This record gives sequence, structure tokens and C-alpha cells, in this order.
Amino acid sequence: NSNDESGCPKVIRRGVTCLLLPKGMQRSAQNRSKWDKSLDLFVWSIEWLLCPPKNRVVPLQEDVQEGVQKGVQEDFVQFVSHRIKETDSIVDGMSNVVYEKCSKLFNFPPLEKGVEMRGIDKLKVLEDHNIKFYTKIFPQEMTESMDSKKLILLEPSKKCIGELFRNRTVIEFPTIFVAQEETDLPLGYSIVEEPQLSADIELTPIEESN
Amino acid sequence: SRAANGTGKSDTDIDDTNVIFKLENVSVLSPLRKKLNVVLHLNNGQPTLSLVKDSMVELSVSDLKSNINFATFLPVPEKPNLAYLFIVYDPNDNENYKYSDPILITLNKQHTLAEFQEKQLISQAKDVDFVKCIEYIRKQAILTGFRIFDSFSSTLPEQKSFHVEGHRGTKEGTLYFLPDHIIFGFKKPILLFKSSDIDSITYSSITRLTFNVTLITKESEKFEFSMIDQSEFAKIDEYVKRKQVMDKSM
Repeated sequence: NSNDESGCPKVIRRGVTCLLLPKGMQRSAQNRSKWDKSLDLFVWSIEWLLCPPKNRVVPLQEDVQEGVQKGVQEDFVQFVSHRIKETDSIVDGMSNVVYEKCSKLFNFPPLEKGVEMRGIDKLKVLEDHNIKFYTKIFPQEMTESMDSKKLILLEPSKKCIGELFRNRTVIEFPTIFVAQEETDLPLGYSIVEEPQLSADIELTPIEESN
Repeated sequence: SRAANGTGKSDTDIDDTNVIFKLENVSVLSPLRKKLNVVLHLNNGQPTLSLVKDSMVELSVSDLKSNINFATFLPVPEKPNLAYLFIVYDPNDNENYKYSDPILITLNKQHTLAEFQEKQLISQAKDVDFVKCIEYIRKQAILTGFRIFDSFSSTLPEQKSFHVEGHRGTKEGTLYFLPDHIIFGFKKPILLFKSSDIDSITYSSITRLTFNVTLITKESEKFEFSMIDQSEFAKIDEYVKRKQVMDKSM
């Protein structure tokens, strides 16, 4: 473990810089990322933040009861799944629970009962519905704010989670934002291009530059 | 409907690193009616309670120890699957926000329990019930400087609490009798009395089925609640006697 000037302890796990929060804070309590002995690989806790399309309006339960015909913008759906293998791609690591939540928010067919849906089929549905995946990118030099509102696009199927998050920074564990349009992301977030790194800089792991 | 906050968004936004405890998408009824995240978090290192939607902060209360005047869980009449969380704060601390009415949140017991279990905040055993969520929230509150009462779950006789249906003018509502407080809710304005501030009580308009109760504060303000069911009389009368409020009825 090491501390930077801001005093937030961090640890590098599998090449990922994990900012550690004080014990007892919700995100710390939820983190079950660990080395899995039987699988002989690292398994991550991953937070999925599903961003429904902005035009999607659902009636408020109380309004339905009162017979009022109005609606509110559909809520963001947050879900933390555990034991996601570092060797899985995002699509493979997307559990059925998360996939089902997506199918509701983005209007694609739910999983058929009893039918095992393979990663390749899931990928096709996700691509057909223009579903994109993002994660936070942190500046190299941390400022007062430890959090980031800059997102970068993640490749959903060709790279594994271990590769996608290597040399990145996460707060306890990765968060993956799922959205169709940039405008559906939570307010204040913006998508940035991956900084272009020259070959030799890319070889320098972040932990050594600290 | 963003609060008029001249300091801009970045000052009030909550970093993920600062979140102590978050309840997602709960139905807030007051001071605004909206589904919001209720977040206990650090703001410049200080515990703060905020109501947030899509990274927009609607209301923020800091210095919880001195600014939260009263907080309690309450049952929702005729809806055993719901619970209220009622928080009265000092609105003077909220110059940046346009709200001053107390915070009233409805929690669906099953959903909240499922969320807590999913987040591993409490045991995932099957026999665990909503009481564990209450315990967890109360602990989070104590750690951040304020106390949330839960007298309706208490089995202690001196904590005995009850509620009755009544009217204030044309507004239907519920009178909650807590160990040291009386609340009338929940159509605005929500009324909160310390029982020690109540000087006397009178009963009037007693009919075969209903009666009226008038609370008179030490500042001689009168609050009349009407159409209370006769069957509730004994409970109210016992409460009044226990609190040594004067019965000024003829």
C-alpha cells in the first residue's frame, strides 16, 4: 500500500491502481475482488451503471395509484456483481442479472428461460442496440478531487477485463457505464479520447511513475 | 429543478470516494417529491447528508450533530410494507438550497432489505428482516453525528408509541405520539411538537364515534385535530397523563 499527497491509500492489484476508501464506507464494504485459488485467477467486483435512454419515461408508482397520467425519467440502474473473471471480456463477464436489467432498459428481448445465451449472441444483441461501455479515466496527477467524470470507451468483446483495466485507476473496484448515447450518461460526465501514448510510455506501468 | 446554488455544480457534486452510505432511488415526499438518492458522505472531510439526483444535489445538510434537530422512523398507516424516515433539519444551514420543509422519505421494506443484502451491508440469511436495515441506517447516522429514533419498534413500555388518524381543518393526516414528540403529517405543513412544549390539551366535540383534540403550546398557540376515533381516546388520555400535560377539558 502507498499513500499519495492526498492521503488516499492505494494498492496495485493485477496492474490496476485501486484507490482504497476507509473501511466501513459502502463501496469498501462491497468490494469482494480477490484472488480465486480454485480458478487460479483474479476475480473482480464490478459496478454496472446502466443509463437508460433520456426519452424513456416511466410512470411513478404513486401516480399510477392516484390515476395520474404522467411519468418521470427512468432511473439509472446500479448493480454490483462479484467474481467476474479477469480473463472474461465485458460481454462474457456481464451476468444474466445485468443482461436482464439491460434488456428492460434498452428494450431488447430478455433471456429465454432454459436457453444458455452465449457471449457471441449477447454481443450481437448489444451491438444491434448500439450499447456502449465506458469507464472512468483518472488524470495521471491526482488533484484535490479523487474522483473523475471523464469516461473512455471500452472494447466489449475482444479484450479481457484484466487487459482493459490494466494501468487504469479505479475506486476500490471498476465501474462500467452502459449507455446507448453519450447524452444518456449522468450529468457532468463526458467522454474523452484515450490519451495517445507513444510505445515506450505505454510500457511504463503507472505504479512506477508515482 | 435545481436549487439556486451560485457556487456551481462542482462544489456540491459528490465524489464516489466520499460516499459513506447511499440509498438509491428512494421515494422522497418532502421537501420535494421525487425519486432521489439519499447520501451520507464527506464534504471537505465533514459528514454531510444530501439528496441527490443524477449528480445534481437538491439539498445538503452539513454539521449533522447540530443541524439535524430530530429524526425518526415511523410506520405508514395501513401500509405495513412501507416505513417513513422523517428528518427535521435547521433550514438556516441551507442558504444554498431553496428548501426548508423537513425531509420525508418512504422506504419499501422489501426493496430496501433486498438492496442491503445485495450490497452485503447486512446478513444475507433468509430470516433477516427490515429491522436490520433500520439498525444499519441508525448506526451510520450515529457515526456521522445524529440520532434516528425508532420508538415504534421498541418493546420498552416508556417508549410506547402509537398513531391515530385525524383531521386538521380539511386535511386528513396522522398524529404520531412518540416518547418526547408529537408529529402531525404528512400533508404540508408537517407539524412537530416536543411534548415538553405542550402546556395543555382539551377534548371537544365529543360525539358517539369521534372527538377533537386541541394541543395548546407553552406559547399559547392552539392546534386542533378533529374527527379522531373514540376508540383512540384511552391511548391519548394515558399519554397526556404520562406526560403530565394539563387536561383543560371541562
